[in-house]
Amino acid sequence: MTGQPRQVWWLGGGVIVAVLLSLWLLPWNLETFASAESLGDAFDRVGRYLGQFLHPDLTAPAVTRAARLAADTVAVALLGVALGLLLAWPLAIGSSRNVVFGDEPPDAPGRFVRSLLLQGCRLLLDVLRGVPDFVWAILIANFTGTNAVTGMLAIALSVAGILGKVLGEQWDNVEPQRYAALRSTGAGRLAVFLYGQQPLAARAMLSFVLMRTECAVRNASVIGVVGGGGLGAGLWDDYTDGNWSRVATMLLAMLLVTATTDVAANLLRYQLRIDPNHPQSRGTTDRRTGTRRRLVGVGVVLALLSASVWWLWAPIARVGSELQRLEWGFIGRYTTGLLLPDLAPATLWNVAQQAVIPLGVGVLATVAATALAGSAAFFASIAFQIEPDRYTGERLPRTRRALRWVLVVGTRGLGLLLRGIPEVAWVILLSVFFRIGLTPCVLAVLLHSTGVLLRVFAETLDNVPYRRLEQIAGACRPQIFLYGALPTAWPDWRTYAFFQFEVNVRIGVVLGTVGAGGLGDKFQSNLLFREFARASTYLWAMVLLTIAIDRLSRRLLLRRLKC
Amino acid sequence: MIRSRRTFLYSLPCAFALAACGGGDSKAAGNPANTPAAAPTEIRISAIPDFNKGKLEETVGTVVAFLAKATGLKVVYEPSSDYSAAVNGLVANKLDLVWYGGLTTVDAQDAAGKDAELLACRDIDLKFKTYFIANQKAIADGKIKPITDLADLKAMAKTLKFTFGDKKSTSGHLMPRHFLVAAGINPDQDFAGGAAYRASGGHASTMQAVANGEVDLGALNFSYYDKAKPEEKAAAPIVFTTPEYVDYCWVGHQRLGAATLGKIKDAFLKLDPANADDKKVLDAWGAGKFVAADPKAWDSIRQVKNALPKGFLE
Repeated sequence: MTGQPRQVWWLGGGVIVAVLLSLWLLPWNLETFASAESLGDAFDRVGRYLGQFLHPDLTAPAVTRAARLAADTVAVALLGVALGLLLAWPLAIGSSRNVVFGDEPPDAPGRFVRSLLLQGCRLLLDVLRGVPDFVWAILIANFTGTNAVTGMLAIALSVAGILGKVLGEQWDNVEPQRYAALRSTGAGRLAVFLYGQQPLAARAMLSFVLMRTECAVRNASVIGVVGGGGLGAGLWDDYTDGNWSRVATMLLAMLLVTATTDVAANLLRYQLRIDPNHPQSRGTTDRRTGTRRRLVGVGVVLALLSASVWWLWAPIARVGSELQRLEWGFIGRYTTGLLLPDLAPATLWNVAQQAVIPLGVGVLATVAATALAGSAAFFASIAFQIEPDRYTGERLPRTRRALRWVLVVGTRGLGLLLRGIPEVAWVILLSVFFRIGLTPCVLAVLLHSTGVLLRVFAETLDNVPYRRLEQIAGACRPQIFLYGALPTAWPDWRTYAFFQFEVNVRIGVVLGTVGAGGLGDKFQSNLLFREFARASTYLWAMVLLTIAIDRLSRRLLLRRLKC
Repeated sequence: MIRSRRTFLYSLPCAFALAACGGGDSKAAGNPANTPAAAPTEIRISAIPDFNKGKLEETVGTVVAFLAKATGLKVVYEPSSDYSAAVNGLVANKLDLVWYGGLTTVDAQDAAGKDAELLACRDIDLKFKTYFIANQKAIADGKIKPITDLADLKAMAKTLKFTFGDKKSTSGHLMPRHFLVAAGINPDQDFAGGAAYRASGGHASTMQAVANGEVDLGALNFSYYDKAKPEEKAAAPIVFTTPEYVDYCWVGHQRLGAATLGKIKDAFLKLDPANADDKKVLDAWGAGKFVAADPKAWDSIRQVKNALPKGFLE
């Protein structure tokens, strides 16, 4: 399953060229390493703030504030995902080939209208997904103010784009034999969808929604930087106050929130896995247990959502009256202005140049993170550290075994830490050493995505059936890893890495506003200076980037994301 | 003309909705949306986010109570997410009275037309300044020294990391850029790695970045700097002070009605430094006193904005 050799060469060559181009074209700021003196200065700076940073402010007011902001963050994320799912559902139906066309003949009436609907829904999903949640927040906050509702809506819009695309694809990817019986009894397209595709894809969908929820919590914890409320607003306030003990408090709260959701979502996803071929299969459950679990699940979700609404009631309650009094004529003109781009050749050329930065950030951070996470996955893998006896027959003394557990837990903990701190927060920390500019931004994305990839890589590695590893059991563990497990895990790793690339390019846009420059920075400048047509060009460029990467991954015939 | 007709059209469904309510909701009925003729029941005030949120809430807090007393109306503070949001909020009927900087005052005039009324500004706003401040260590190392002419900066610029404040800040970006360009310096090319901006947190953020050495040099609001803590000032001394220009202003929207706008303006102008309560408000705003705003004074800012090379937007 490593693909045709030709494709491997193309892909490998393409990646190398992209890396070299990025290294060459990006405006690095490396003045920290210009001389021994400037390096000394950098360590001085770190030393000065580390003292404060290592003593987080844990007094009652600081902790209460952090707890309040953390609750805001979780509520914003949960409601954002819920709203996003509501919005994604109809759009996903409209963008699913199976639901819109089914197996009707190509000359069936209304074909043109239907393909319009299909393309329209897909474009809308691309727009929702292509514009990062930070940018949505910048746009929405003009009219909703700086509060949790802004964060919630921004996350809902971007989550809708991602969920809508994946849901539609998952429905289209259900193997037709599995619902052939339904179709043969004369069920229409909608019936086939409701009783066939949808239930068959439900488990994978739920797993993906859980993953997005976890991401949404991470994003919600920084969206306050641009007006979305929650921990991000507090973090930036403390940073601009120069209060590093409080910055540390905020980061601890962030870590606590993201790590908890991370572990919880993962445990739940583990329960959803019923593949009997899985080395650690839980087996199937009987119907009563299944129903009970479902009821408990629905109950917990409803309880969490109600609690979130209750917690954010003050800003939510105001939405109605605010909407009523807003002058919609102005908002209409503002929105129209942002939809109509300036297509002058000079502008387009500038946009293309500015797009190099997020693309370069995405390429370098993703390639480096893939290499780092790939190597670290070996140390984080249960299959290679704890259970090699299952396929090599090795017998380990208890102390060695304990040490290996330490290694596994340590590596996984490191991954949790790396991904638990959002990119924007990494930039703040790294800028003390590297100073403001592109370098800390690239490193921030690299560190964060290493954490993200490490988990999915280790998970894929542990999913490799042991019988594949038995064949070369005479070799040492690294050899088994390289020649036994890697070829099996690689297609999945590649898919995850490519998806992460798409995410990282969007983050590259976002980080433009905090020092990386490029697309995000220019978009914001033009928006602020009321050059709406040019801002629109930059906005469309973000969408086009996402579409281009998406189509590229389809061309490369990457495997669909398994959840 | 089109605008007012639209306003009328949009107020129609609201009026029907209110009629249907039968006046049960007295709060909503007392303040129908977008109807300038009706007397307002509350004033929504805001300010450009030129400092971090905590500091801003502190300052605005002092004026909320004072305005409520002066007008007899409820005064609500609505934080603005960025400089531009404070302008859009005024036009979109989200905000009624906003504390703008020079550039945003001009934007509000352009976006809201005659509906935007310039009310009052501080004495210092008619002779505002920008400080260029440098990191103490960079000065000690001789990377930069205090200068009397910005043109002297050109020789040192190549090795200096420089940051403006918020992109829309008059004292943090527009005017310092204007003076740099006038001195023959292209901030986007001449400084090491080009000029940076502060994503949020305004002048406090610039001060922090210079003080902790993330950048060597920064441009910020002189009034914020003068009120900063001594240890921060010591870590980031002033190396250059720009010539004077016009900056901040209170701008109200006509929907508040001429009577209310008049009351607000009078209240600001009557603030007396000899009165202890008034002094608190003035001190919080860094003002000696408030003076009536003459809209023509901000034309100079409009000219600077229009004449400035816009390479940083391309």
